[in-house]
Amino acid sequence: MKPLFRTSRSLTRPEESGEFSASPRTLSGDAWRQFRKHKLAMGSMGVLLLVVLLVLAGPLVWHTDPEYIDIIAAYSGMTAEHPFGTDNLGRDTLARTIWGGRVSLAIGLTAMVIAMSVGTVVGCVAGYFRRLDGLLMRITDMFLSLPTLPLLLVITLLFREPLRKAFGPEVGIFVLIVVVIGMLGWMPTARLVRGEVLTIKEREFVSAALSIGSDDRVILRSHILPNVLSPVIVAASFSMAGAIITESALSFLGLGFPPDFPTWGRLLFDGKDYLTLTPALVFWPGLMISLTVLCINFIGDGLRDALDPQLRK
Amino acid sequence: MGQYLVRRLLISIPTLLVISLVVFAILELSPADPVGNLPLTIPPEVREQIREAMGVNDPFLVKFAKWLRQFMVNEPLNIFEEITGLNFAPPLSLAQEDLISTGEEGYGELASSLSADIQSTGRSVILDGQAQELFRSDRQFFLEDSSNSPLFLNEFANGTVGRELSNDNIDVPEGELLPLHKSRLRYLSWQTRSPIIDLVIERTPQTLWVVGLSYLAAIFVAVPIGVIQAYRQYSNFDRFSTVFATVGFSVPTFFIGLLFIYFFSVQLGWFPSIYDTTHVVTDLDSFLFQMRQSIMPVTVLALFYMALLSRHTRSSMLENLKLDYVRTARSKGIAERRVVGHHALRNSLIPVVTLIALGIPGVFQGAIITEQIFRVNGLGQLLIIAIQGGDLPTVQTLTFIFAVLNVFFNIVADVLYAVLDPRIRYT
Repeated sequence: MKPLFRTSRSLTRPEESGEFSASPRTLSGDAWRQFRKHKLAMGSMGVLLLVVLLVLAGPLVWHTDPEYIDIIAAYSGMTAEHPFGTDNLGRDTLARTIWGGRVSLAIGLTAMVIAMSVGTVVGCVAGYFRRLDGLLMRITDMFLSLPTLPLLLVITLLFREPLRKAFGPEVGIFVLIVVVIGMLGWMPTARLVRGEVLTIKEREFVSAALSIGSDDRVILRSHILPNVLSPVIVAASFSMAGAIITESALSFLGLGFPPDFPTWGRLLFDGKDYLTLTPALVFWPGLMISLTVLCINFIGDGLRDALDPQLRK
Repeated sequence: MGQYLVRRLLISIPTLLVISLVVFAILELSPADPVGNLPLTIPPEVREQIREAMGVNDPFLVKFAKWLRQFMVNEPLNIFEEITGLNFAPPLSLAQEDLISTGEEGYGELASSLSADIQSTGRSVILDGQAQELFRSDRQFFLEDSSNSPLFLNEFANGTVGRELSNDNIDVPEGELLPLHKSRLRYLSWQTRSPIIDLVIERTPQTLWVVGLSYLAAIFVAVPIGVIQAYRQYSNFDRFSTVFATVGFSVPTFFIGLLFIYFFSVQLGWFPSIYDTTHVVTDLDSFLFQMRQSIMPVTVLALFYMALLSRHTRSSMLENLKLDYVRTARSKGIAERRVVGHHALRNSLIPVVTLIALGIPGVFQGAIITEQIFRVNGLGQLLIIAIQGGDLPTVQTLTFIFAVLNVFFNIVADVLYAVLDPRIRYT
């Protein structure tokens, strides 16, 4: 009997070549194929990789110490010696931008992981266990009506000292900022995941798993979680972009890392008073923030299109 | 509808309570010492008495209850009186033992001798020579304490003394009446020694001006753009605007702000880089100057919301243009303009209007950064100054105000949605 549908070329090609060499189509393979069609997202991926490469491998090529003070070369414009210019103490902006990028990207990544983990766990539990749903969603609503930026400012102000004592000046602030940004950013993900879980848990494969006696943990981990992963991945990219902006904003207000510890936002904060003398001080770190966030957002757009099976052609 | 509104308002009460608890607890758990910036000459045991009198050692829940009363009852009434000029504070009626019970020696002695010499007569307090002498000799001391101890004041003289003294008009001749037009506790700023509500009222107009103008600008630019984008989906205009919108909310406002300052103030000299906060609009010229100095802060703040709103208008419009009623309208021969502008647009705007309401607290928070860039003396700047100066009462008040804005506009959005969309029926 002939199959009803025989439209895919992949079915015929292996037969013609005589062997089944073509690898089976997978969900991630499909998504990747779709993602590649999104030109902006692909371009952004390239640019983002360049930024990451610059930040990670930069110190191997550019040996200048970001903390080296050279008063004579202060306010230098863009020269061969200092491609991005220097600040009021003659510190090299390129080196500082590279090191600052490490911090900014690390914060974006860690805060995103925290927000996504909390959001996914809360969303899964709320969606799966009906008894906890009301309580968890009330908590989520509560968090959603907290004013993010003011609270962030207040918490970093108040808990800076104790954390500094506990972990040292840099690590302390890092932990503080990452945890606070993460804890104020998980709510949209929790809502999203809960909605997905609510529909998925009514599907047949979950009933099947239940009927063979799988316990809740197995069902959540191996049946539900993989199915909510794609919206979480999309949310993760936007969350990371947001975290990078939030950290920069915090540093820009002078309330982030200590002054001698460069992050992109901190560089902007330090450079803004010398705007007329050396605009390069502000321009390069600002450009790096903008490029990174822009690329991540475009990648997020691309991922959304690629991972949504309804949009897939 | 009315029932829904009531229910919605009732739901917001626990939310507000929990938010208050969070704001209160964060500051309460913080290691800041409320008597930390008193003069160092005060001996430690007196310091301890001051803390005791201030209620620092009260149980957490007692302090929270007092705080709630202050923020939910006293301060709103203060604002109301400040704005309307009315005064319906209850007449001063202080039980003598309340006043004397604050301590034995040192500060307590000062307090009790002072309170014994204060006789309240309606809205006025008579200070005799001894009390005034105390004020003069120990003025710094007394002022420091009164403004440092909002809860203490509550027990001491219902806030009246602190209020009057902070106004610098305490050099009253002996035996004369010290007029008191406020007999309600006021939360005082540690930095300026004045009631925080006064600071807030003083700074609100600037924030409202910047926030309001930029939000209006964002709405009036974004909605038409979104409509045209959806109508001409995949056209060059659509593509360009979509990319532009993503750029708009990816590039941080502080970077755009600095770029604006560099190009338009430093290079071209078109607009002033610093907002002149003393400028008063009296005639056309000064109005034009006001507009000129507002352009950059307003644009910077507007860009982000322009990007966000145009995106949502586009997607909502796209959804509606596909629906049957649009096809029906077209098939009836209604002019295209009317189909799009009247039938489709009105339905597409329902989610957009909700989003606009939801976005308002966000613009206020965005103004924190914008005001900092252009030195606008609004609420956001007040918050930053207070944070930098460790002025916890002000920080607490402003954070609470931002939270209330959030809760309030959440309700507004929900109610708007229910009013605008007849398909949604809340029972």
